[in-house]
Amino acid sequence: MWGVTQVAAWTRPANGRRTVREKGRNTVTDAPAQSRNGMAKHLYVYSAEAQTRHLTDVFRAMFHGFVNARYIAYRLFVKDLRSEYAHSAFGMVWDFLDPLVLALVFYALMNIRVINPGEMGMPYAVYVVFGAMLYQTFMESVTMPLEIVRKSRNLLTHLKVSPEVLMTSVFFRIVFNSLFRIMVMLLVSLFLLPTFHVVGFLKFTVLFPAIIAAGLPVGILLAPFNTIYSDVGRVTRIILNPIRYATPVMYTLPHEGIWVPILTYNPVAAILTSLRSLATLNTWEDPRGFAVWLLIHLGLFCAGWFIFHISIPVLAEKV
Amino acid sequence: MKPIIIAENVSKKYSRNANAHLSYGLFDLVRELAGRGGSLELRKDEFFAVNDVSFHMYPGDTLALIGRNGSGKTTLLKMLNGLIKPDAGTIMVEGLMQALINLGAGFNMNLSGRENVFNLAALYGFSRVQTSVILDEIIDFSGLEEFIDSPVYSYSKGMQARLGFSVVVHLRPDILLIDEILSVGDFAFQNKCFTKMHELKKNGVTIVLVSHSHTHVVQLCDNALWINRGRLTKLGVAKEVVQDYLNFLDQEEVAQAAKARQLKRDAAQATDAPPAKSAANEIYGPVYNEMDKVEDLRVEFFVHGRPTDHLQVHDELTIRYSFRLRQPVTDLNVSLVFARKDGLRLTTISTLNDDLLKHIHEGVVRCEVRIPDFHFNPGSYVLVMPIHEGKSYLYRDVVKEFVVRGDGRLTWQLTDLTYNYTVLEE
Repeated sequence: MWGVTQVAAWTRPANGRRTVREKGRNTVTDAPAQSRNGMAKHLYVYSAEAQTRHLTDVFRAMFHGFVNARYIAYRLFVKDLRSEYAHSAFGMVWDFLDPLVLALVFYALMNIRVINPGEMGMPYAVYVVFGAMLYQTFMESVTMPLEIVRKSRNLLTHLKVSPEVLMTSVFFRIVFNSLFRIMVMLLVSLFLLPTFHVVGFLKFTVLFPAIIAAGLPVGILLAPFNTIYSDVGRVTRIILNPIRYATPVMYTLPHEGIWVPILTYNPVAAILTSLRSLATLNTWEDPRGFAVWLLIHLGLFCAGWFIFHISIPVLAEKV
Repeated sequence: MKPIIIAENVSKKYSRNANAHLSYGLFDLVRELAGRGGSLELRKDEFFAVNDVSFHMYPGDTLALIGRNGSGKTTLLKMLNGLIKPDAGTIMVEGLMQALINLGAGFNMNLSGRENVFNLAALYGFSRVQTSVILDEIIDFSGLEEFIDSPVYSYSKGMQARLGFSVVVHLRPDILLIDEILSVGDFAFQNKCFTKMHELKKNGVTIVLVSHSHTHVVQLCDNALWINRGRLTKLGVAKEVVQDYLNFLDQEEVAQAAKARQLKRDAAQATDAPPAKSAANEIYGPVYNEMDKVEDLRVEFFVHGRPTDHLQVHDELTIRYSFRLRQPVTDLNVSLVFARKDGLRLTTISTLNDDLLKHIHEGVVRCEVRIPDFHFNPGSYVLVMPIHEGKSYLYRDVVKEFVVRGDGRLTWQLTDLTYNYTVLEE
């Protein structure tokens, strides 16, 4: 958990005694190393001292939190999902229909020639469905973590839940929602593309988490601040709308003039266009931009995770 | 033996109006990120919920946290469990701690009891396989076999408490923290829970219990920690601490009653008006206090020959009352109705028995009632005095508010009988 020191069982020496850290110094104890339920026995130290003064312990706790989070996060994810569908007759069908209807609308608009976007190397319906689905995933990756602390208020104030559990449960939910979008994109590709590139689509599927990685760090980083001031979430949502129009989601953007810096510094454009071109044409539209932005997002994610981990015990009493 | 819980000079402050001071949250967060940690400096509207509390516990110890509502018990419990961070001091806990702080925590109302067992166990660190092994035991203990596949929203609070408690105690913790949540369960389940806690105690589980029931505290816990306004007032043997706490409550009650009487007197003097029919007194039955049929009504309590409104359990109480009849009556009788402050009527002494006042038809009535052993348990009480002519009221209202203090012994329920207890040898 978030205590200054959390000593795992693996620090136990072979002679049956354990080394435990107390107030920064190592001592040896003869206490049994196992809890009554057979789990490893830990020493938890909760103090007023800032966690950031013991960075090694924080990183260790983050690592342990992440490793141990999967099952609890999965249960939380399933709990939320079942709860959401508890009063729905068609359940997940709606999650599939939502993107499918969007795809059909653009297909119809293109067929009756309401929209004439010009040459873009693929049917417009495919272009826009991929753009919309990927941007929706990006938006969800930003906005879903923003509310996670507030949403988990009841848990955080009464049960010991690691920050990593909350993060992972959000990730599971975004991946789950994305599966329906990937299925719709697959259907659209199969029916509307002149040539379906199996390898390209497989590469797209493998690299799909990159679009989540583009949004999640911002969401995780801002979540603690949004817990204190909900204005942070409102501003974020407002900003995401203009970014949509500065990203080749519904139409291509010219690679000249003012659009060059806009596209270069757009945190999601290179990833979105690369994923779309991989799935539909089996080509990398902007591999360099993809790699650079992915690295930036991963760095940002580490910073966001660190801040999120540190923040939870401070925020648990304020939500 | 090494302590399993050590709390050293632990303090925690809260804001009375957190919504008005959102900046405190941001300031605290930035402070934590900057490596500066907690601070004991109180900002506007802040107060200490827990203030400089220290104690330690050894494996198998049982400690009760007692104190009035809002005294800081739950905050301390949450800090022990690592849910919130202290602003000063250190807590060290060795071993697996399970806490049952809130009934609904971890439950999803739309899911079945069975699914919630898996969820709750997962939140306490149990895998699906580990939970499956103890599932039957959990369900069996909760006594909810019939309803385990029904959604939890259809459960009563008591049923939720059963399920929550059952999960927590079957996860075999080293340390168990229980907040005042078992009070919602029925008596049979409460009994079952305390039997289970006794069993856990015997097996070396360290238990911290927050309870307002001094019976539970004395019966289960070796030690008690009394917190008042966040400060540790007394830590020691449970029975002694509980007794001191109850005495403190008595004194507070006495002080409050005196304050209320003073306010009433001040209000009456300020308005210089005859006492009006009090709606508050209607919880003790009908009120008739027009003073048109009787006047100069006086009622006084005497203990050891001195007038008082503060009694001690088993005091000899003498009640003297007098009033003047403003009109001739034919069938006079007077009752003394003793009621608890919350309206529960306890007993009545009436002149109907033996027709004590039937011969009085006019003038002044003076009586004295002696109660050799007044055995009401500590608390606040009122005396209601109906004066009848036949079945119609000449007067009926509260004539006295009084407080009974404890005499140093533990008491339960309403009265403390006088008895001789003999343990017969074989």
